[in-house]
Amino acid sequence: MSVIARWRKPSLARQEAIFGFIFIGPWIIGFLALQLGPMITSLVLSFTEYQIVAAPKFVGIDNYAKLFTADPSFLDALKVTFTYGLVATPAGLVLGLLIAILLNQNVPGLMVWRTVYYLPAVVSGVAVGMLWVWIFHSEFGLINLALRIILGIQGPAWLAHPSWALWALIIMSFWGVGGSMVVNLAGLQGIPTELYEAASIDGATWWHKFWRVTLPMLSPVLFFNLVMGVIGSFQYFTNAYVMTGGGPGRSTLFYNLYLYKNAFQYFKMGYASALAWVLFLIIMLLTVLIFRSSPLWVHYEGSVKGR
Amino acid sequence: MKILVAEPMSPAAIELLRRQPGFEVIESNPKEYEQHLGDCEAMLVRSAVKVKADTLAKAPRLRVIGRAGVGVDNVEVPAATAAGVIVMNAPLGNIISAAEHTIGMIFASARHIPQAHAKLTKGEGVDKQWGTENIQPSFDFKFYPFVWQNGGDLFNKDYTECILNQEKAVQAFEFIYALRQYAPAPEEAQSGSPQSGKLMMWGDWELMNTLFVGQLPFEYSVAPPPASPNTGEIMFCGDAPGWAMPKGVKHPTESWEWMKFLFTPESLFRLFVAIAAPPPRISMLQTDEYFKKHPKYPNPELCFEITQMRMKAFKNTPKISNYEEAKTAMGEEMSLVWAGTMGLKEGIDKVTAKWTELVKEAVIDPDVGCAGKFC
Repeated sequence: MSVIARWRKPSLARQEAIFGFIFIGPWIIGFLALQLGPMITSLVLSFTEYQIVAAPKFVGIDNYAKLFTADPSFLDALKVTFTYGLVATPAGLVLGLLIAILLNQNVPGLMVWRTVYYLPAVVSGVAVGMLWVWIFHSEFGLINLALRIILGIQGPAWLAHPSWALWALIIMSFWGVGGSMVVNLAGLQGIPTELYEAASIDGATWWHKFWRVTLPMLSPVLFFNLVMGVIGSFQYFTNAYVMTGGGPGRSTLFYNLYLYKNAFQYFKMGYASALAWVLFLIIMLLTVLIFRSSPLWVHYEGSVKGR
Repeated sequence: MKILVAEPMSPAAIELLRRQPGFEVIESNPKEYEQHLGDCEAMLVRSAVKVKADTLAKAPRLRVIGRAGVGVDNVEVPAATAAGVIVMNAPLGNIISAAEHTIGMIFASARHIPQAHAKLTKGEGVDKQWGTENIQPSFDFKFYPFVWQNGGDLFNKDYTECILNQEKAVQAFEFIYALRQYAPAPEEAQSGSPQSGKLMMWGDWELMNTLFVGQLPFEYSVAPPPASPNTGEIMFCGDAPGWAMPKGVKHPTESWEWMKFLFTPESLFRLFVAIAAPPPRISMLQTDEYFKKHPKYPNPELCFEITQMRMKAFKNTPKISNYEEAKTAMGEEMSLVWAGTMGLKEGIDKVTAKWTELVKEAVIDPDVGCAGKFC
């Protein structure tokens, strides 16, 4: 009599586990091939000199050393990106919050307003860049036209002037506050009205209500917007590339744009990879900082902080 | 009475004098009046003739000097008094004109009319913007050093060999540089397109080659045609970049200076030989499709083979050149100049410094060498 090894049906738990892996399989493969793999490759390449026509040549931390000591463009890029981040992100947050508060009340045509404000946040790309190039035109652009008619002053040549090009891009970023506005609106509508009623009973003014009720209850949403805003500002590329290409001099040479130039115009892949990883570290550091600071000011429902 | 009109005067005045009976009017000019001094009794001057004591001595019969003007500074009045000659002037003669002129100057200064006129004729118009955004270096760059042997052929007679030599390339650039002396002044600068009729600092080989074979009525044609002695066709494997300054560019003087800088042998060598050409630059030129697509290359397969040969000839690891960085450096610094926030000299210094750096980075094959003086 032969002993036939029988395939024992796996246990239920095991079966479920197998199915689980099959279900997440596509994502895992995608992640490994398209995200983790390139990340590791780029990390390895950042220690080499790779110009595509030849094999990568190992140079150790040469790229990083050159980055931090001998590259004025890198410092310019950092300066530009940080300026943009420090100005545009908080201003955008505040603006988004204000508009959300405004549109949280019963104004006529509410749905229209909300749609109108949100619309610019969904259009993107080169077309928007070209549109804003026209708006910023020094003679016939809307902004200079308005300045001339209303205030009687001659506006600067926005995108052609080294001091004004970055400000033009910052002003342009304000048209995207609709995105954070929508999230803020959702957060605002999640604040229980009993809190406001209780505050009124206690004799709170509108300022007290705003500062002591609205903001703390909204802080998780604001936290989210802040983190997204910071990460987004460090990844700013399309508009700089389309509208100014680095700007007069290096006044709008954003970090991502500089990375792109190094990678795809100068074909210095090793150097560009080093740049990419430095950017990653910077963003990670900032995000960690923001997260670490969150217990101080972010109130999640159910946790009691302060008095 | 003889009246000597020593300087050109208004015909109306002379007519007035002639109408008087007994007056004989001699018209003269500041160079010849002295010959009539001997017998004249009256003299009319304006401001060119200086009547001094010796002039008076030459005119013994002179009785009166009339000055057609307000001041009498060109007449030595004490000497005239001593000689008994009356000196008269016309104190109210042109005071209205002078006053009108002064008011006119006041208005012109207050409204900056001369400056506006100068700007307009210089082509700046009312646009306050600086810029030569119209200067686009035609960096459709697929440069190879040009060779001046075989009458300009890159190949030998059998088309079996292509010799690319850096020294010859430098000579070629010096030739382009020498063309500058034939270029028009900035005010006459026109577009370098073939239809424009005027050549300006256009180093494009295609254009120059068509120029040389006499196909276009350009005004300047200075070089012997680099044509193949066999076929008469222009033989080359690539284009060279050139620059032109279109009409109506905003600040032609600065643009001209900038282009003169770009055309110095050092700049040309740095930009197109040291930085860009060796080691070989990866470009579309190195695919055979490019050659097939461009009908002017008579031997596309050979050209392709030549470029492959050239790549192998370089002993260093093939490397993509620093040309894009050189171009970006140039654009970055010059855009500040055109925006008006940096002086041209400073811009040129910065660009030169960056290019010198890039030349050091470009690894030049030691056998091919650096053609000596421009490294």
